[in-house]
Amino acid sequence: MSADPAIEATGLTRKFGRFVAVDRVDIRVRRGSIFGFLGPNGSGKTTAIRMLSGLLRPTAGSILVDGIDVRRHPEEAKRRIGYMTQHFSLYEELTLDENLDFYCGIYSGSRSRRDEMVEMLALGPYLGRQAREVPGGIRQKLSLCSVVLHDPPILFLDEPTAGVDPVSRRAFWDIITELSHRGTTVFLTTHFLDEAEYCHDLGFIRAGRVLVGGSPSDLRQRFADTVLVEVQTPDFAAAERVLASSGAVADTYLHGPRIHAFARPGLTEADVRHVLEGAGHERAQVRTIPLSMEDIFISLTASPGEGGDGP
Amino acid sequence: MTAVLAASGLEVRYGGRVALRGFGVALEPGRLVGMIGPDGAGKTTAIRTLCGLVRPSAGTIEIEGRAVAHPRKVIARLVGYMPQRFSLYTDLTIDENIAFYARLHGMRRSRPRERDLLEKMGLAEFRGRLAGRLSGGMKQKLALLCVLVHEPSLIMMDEPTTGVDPVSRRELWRILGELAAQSMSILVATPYLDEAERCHEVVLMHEGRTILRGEPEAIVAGISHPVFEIPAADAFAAKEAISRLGWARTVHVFGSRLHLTTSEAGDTAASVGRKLLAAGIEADVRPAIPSLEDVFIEAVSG
Repeated sequence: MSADPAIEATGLTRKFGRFVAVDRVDIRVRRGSIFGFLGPNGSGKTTAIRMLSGLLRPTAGSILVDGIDVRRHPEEAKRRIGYMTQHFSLYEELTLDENLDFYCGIYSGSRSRRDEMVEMLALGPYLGRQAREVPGGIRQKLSLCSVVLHDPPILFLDEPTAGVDPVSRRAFWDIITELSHRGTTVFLTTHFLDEAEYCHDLGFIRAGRVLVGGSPSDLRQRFADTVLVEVQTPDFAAAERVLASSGAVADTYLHGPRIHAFARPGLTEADVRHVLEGAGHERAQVRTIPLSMEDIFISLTASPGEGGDGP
Repeated sequence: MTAVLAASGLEVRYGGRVALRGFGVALEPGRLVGMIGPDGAGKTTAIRTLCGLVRPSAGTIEIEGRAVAHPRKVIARLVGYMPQRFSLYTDLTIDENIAFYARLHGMRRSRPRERDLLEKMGLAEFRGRLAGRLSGGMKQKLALLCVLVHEPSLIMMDEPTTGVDPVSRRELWRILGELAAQSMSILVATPYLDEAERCHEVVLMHEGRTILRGEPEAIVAGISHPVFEIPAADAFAAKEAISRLGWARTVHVFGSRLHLTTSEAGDTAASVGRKLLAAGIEADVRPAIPSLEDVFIEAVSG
């Protein structure tokens, strides 16, 4: 992996009137890596991806993609980019084969590259069928195939797995992993926090600001000493009050009908159980569980007592 | 416990297409039921059928233990339905929206109850604010509040957390937990498999069918192919090497880890490690906790 990043954006900002959609965002993506841009709807993910791929002019900031200044040389940058939009346009009445012909023509893709991608994406059996007839997972693969025909070193995927069933989603991640292994840099957005585990690096964006960044293992490492305990008991609302007012627990939240409690530093599951037993909740099931990506993001982004997107 | 609403064998056809088949669910007081599946799985159709808005071509719906032929009227009183796009009046205040929904249901306004609800949702201090000027998370909570105004004993919510900020999502699940603790019966549709563990019971759906139904722990424990985890710096190369051996059932790369299942039922982390070593691959094989996604994929792929 060369030290020169595949994507480098500095101070990236976009305003629409008085609304700041993307606010002074810095992004560095290593060559051949998968970068996951996570955030809720309306957080600025798509605006950022449109700027990075040269479709939208930033209000401020610089962007280098594959070493090319995207603002100065957008056409040259576009040749190095594959961009799969959230609602990618397929020609519904055309067969998959004809759709690929069309995109091969636009992007001047080679026959051998096309054959290679059709094989990798296992699209062969569907080539003769109309785009509108094939299942969602296949359409998704066709869209992906269309944007990699010109063998771009950098791929932007905007919510490629939204609405996709779990089987197709996993197959899609197999392909992304393989593309990355073959050297393609992949920048993608998602609102599935569990997809963070697939990425080499992550950025978490909310209201236009990137709040947290790093590799999944780095982020986990920051919480290596944190003990998260799950409590199941029929009377969970009362049990949570007991825990919240005890000295054993730093913070609690209700996970539906389960209690998740962060033990105070140095304390463990046994201390939490002890508190519950002392208050008459002997039947409570207590176990230590790993922190989820949601736990990590919330811990790193929300100061105590602050709502997600505020008033 | 008698279910507030129970359905079995529901089938819905739109023209020639079967949108829902063999759907059953029992919604009991104090229980959170999650209906989990991707777009097109039939979640919205199921909710709309349970609400009496879509008439099923087969199946029965029982309300408090009695079969109901035309459930719509009974259901309107009993159920709070929050569709994916709930209509709030953006040019009315929080208070005015609540008053509107109360009147819509022919309710006399109860100030103490409204105050309780506003406090539960953390909206009490904003009651004079226009709904159009609320953040996404607050709008969502106001919508839920409006659904609760007529004191339903069952609420059904269609994808309330899709695309929502993690903090707001967590807050919503807290509120649902608290409502369940007060005996509310709750059905939530969601595309997120990781929300299953926040429910008492889940219904996993795919292409109109119910793939699996039960308590989340029991569903995960029922997986027939144990999942093994192998950390690997170059996980993709490791996957290719292992796949070539021919005995792996599935090999999947999760960042810098592999998840592996085998066709042999009796395999353990140790036996898989030995087999890999025999093939010249030294690997630290550990049992992985299967995810609901693993279970879903196993169930769909057979």
